[in-house]
Amino acid sequence: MTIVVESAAPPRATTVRRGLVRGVLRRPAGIAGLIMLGLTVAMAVFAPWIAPYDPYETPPVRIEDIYQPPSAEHPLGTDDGGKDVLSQLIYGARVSLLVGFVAAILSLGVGSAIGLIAGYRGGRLGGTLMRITDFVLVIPALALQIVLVAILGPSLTTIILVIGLLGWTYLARLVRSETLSLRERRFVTRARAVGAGDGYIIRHHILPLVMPLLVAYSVLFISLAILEESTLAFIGLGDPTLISWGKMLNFAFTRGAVSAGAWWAFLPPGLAIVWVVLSLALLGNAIEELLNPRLKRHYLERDRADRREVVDRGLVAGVLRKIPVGGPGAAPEPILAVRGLTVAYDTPDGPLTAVRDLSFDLHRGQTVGLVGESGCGKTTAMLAIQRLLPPEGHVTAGAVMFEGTDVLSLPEDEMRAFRWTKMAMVFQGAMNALNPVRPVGQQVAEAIRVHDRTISGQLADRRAAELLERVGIGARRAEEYPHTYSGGMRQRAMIALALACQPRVIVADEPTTALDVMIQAQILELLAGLTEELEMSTILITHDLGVVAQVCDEVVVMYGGRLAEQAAAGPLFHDPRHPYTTALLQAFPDAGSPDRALHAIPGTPPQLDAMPAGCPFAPRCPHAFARCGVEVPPAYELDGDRRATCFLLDPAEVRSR
Amino acid sequence: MTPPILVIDRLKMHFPGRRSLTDSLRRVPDNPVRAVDGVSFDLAPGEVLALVGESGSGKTTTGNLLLGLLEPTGGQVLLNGEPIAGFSRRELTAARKRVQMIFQDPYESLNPRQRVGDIVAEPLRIHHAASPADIRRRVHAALGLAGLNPPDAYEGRLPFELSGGQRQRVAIAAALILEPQVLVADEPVSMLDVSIRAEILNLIRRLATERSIAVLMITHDLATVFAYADRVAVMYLGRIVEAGPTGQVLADPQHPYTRALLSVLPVADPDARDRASQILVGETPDPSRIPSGCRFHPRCPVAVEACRTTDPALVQVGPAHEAACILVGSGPIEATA
Repeated sequence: MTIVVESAAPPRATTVRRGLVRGVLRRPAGIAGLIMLGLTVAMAVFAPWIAPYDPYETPPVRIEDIYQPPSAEHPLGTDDGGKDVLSQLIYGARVSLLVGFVAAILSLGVGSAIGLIAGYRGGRLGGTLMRITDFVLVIPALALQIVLVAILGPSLTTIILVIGLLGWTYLARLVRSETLSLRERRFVTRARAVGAGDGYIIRHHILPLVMPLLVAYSVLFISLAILEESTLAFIGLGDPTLISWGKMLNFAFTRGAVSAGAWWAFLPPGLAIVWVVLSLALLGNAIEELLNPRLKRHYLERDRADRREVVDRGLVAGVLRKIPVGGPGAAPEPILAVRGLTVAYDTPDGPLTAVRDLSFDLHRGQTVGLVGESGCGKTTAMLAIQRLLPPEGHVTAGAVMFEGTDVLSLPEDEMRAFRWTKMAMVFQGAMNALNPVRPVGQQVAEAIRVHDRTISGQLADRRAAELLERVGIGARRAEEYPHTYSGGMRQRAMIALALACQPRVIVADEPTTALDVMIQAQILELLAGLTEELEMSTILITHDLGVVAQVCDEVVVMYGGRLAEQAAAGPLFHDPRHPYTTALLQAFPDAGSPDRALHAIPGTPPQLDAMPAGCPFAPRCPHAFARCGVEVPPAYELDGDRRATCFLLDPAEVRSR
Repeated sequence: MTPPILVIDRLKMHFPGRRSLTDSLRRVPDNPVRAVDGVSFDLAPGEVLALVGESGSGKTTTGNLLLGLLEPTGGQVLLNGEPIAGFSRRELTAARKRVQMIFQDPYESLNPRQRVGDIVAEPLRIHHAASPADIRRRVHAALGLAGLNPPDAYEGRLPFELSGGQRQRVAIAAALILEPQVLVADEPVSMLDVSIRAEILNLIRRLATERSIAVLMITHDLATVFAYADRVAVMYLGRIVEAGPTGQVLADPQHPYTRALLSVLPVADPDARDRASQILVGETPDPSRIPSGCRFHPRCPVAVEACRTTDPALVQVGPAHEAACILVGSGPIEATA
């Protein structure tokens, strides 16, 4: 096992925070926002030193000083009292930012406390708190603020309190729902099982995970508070003793700056407000993007119009010739032939190859098992074959031939038809693939009609019912919603969906992984029955050799993105030729020989960015020798129409031993 | 034989059934969810008992009852001969130190923001059981025991930097640090790749033997317990239907449910595909609607008329081997047993 020894770890909080700062600094929006905000804060702090005049001083008003346009003496002109606008603008930042920050802290404190308590305790206390929250939320905030400030008198403290204590409701709801879901997480249960009290759990398990939310919202709250202060000041409810941007606007508009054409009296404070709010918005955007990976779009949603895989077409014919299809005089042409498939993912550090030079055949009526540990490229290979790779993934070499059609060069619209009518997929997480708000029967009927518009709704319904019946879902259940289904039933529904357009090939990605043994047996029996009855071919992706032994004719073992071994099921289990296959077999609990001790494979499959130079399995292989560490073994053709990529099978090595 | 450290006596957990307003107006009788419906077993130090069952069998609820996360509605849990129901708050906290658990999903059961060292130290901190210097020493010892060597290479890491197997080892280290007498492992390997399951199971087995920890392994997969459990208890709909030494249960299963479960286990031999596997029809019924008589009879391939009305109790079918079926102990099966 390779272990990267790190120096003593820095304390937790700093690294999380440092990671956030670093992430923000890596985003242009974040940098811009930080610089803009930083300048404003510096201006507020150093106001007495930068402002050319003291705006709180009231010299006698001279008529010739009123509404003077910008000049060398007054860079932004003067206001109705003959005072320097620039100095007021600089001093105004102090009040605006002070109100913004303090009110935001108040809102955050109250909102998170109420959200945490309501979410964590639930019950009557939580209910009461949420009703209060809802009540405050529905009152128009501005109206209430105006009334309160008017009653309590417009002082700085009042304004901060009123803004801060009315702005927390939205956050309280967010924190509550976050807390509700965190409360159910396993690590919280674990802490409780150990005997942790509520305070401990909130401090150590809930708060640190709610923190990113608070950080993201703090920025929003600051800008909201600044806007609210400006609004209040603009309508004349600012602290009369203080200068703020809103107050400047208020004076400008009530004391005739507009009619005097003195744009310098109202434009600068207006722009200052926009400037600060914009800086916070940029910053908030960067933080939000950083903390919420869901904002990145899902790869299937992406507009992929005509994003054909760019492959050297000359290769196709070449690779097809290079690896003969089947043995001499053997089986008819395969329904699916994969040749030299190589898939890479673009990353900031350059492309990483996830599947390299993968070739195999799928014949009519056959079930091929694609086996290997997680991270060995099985799913990537299957997504590539159906051209469903995420945007950063692409086929860099190889060919996929489906009944003589070159799948990788089909235009996108033909590809869409191909996907469900020729080749359909049964996913691992069945619940996510079913629409939760529509009855299952409807979804199947819809899938039938999407691909064949000529079918009437009635006929589609009838066919859907037949299909569901075939997979063991009766008419009554077909009218129900997916959430009423058990895991096994959902997987049946998924199979019915996949069969909707009578595809020739089904790709099933770990279809039984999360299911009970008995249900797994039912699903496998169903799949096997359907394959035979409908003369379909199946590719079964799994890490479970027991499943393979039960249903597969042919097995492709993958490791580190490459083919490790390919053979018919019988020979593979009785006489594995690749050490990885042997290791997998030894790790698998076999009901046929229950007394055999199991041996785990030490270590883990290689990461894409740390692929060994030679054979990818060499670091974990008990038989590895010098050559394995430097050279990549080719696929050796063995007797019985099987192949394996291991130097132990090199005739030259065999002789020298 | 060493006296059992943990005795579960006719444990019951009935959750109130969900009733709509119209149901209560129409006075439809309340249908409680009988998740655990009279389960008894005991556990000796150093012993691994596998509690096997499908989803809905009540095995996880049983585990939660042992940990005191739920209050049973009937029966009792005796720890070192004392019923935990009678424990004061302080005694319960102390009891929690003695019973620890490992969860199914090592991706979910570790706080993603906590470093390995803090995760493992957490139980000590919660119980204020050690000084800071002592904590570090014990964290290292626990990480080493769980096979994470050298410990200082791991203590500063965050869960996402570890593989699934390593995470499960972290969870095991955290469970070991209070030196528990009982370890409840709820599906400890079902989320892991088959290739590394054996190392975690070997680790748990070794800990049981070497440190005399009593282990209750909760699993849905009979195949994973063969080589690791001393005894097996098969649960169906809130009851244990068969229990006995692992070898005996495997070689000579008595209850039709156990037989069916064993018959569908994967065999690493494609030629054995046609062996008589007995795939049961349908799924485990809803525990709020437990069938009359023997709860297994609607799915039982050998059910007779009497099964509809007789609720069979566990009867002795061999040394320490019990099964709850009216066809054993009175019929043809006994003759062979």
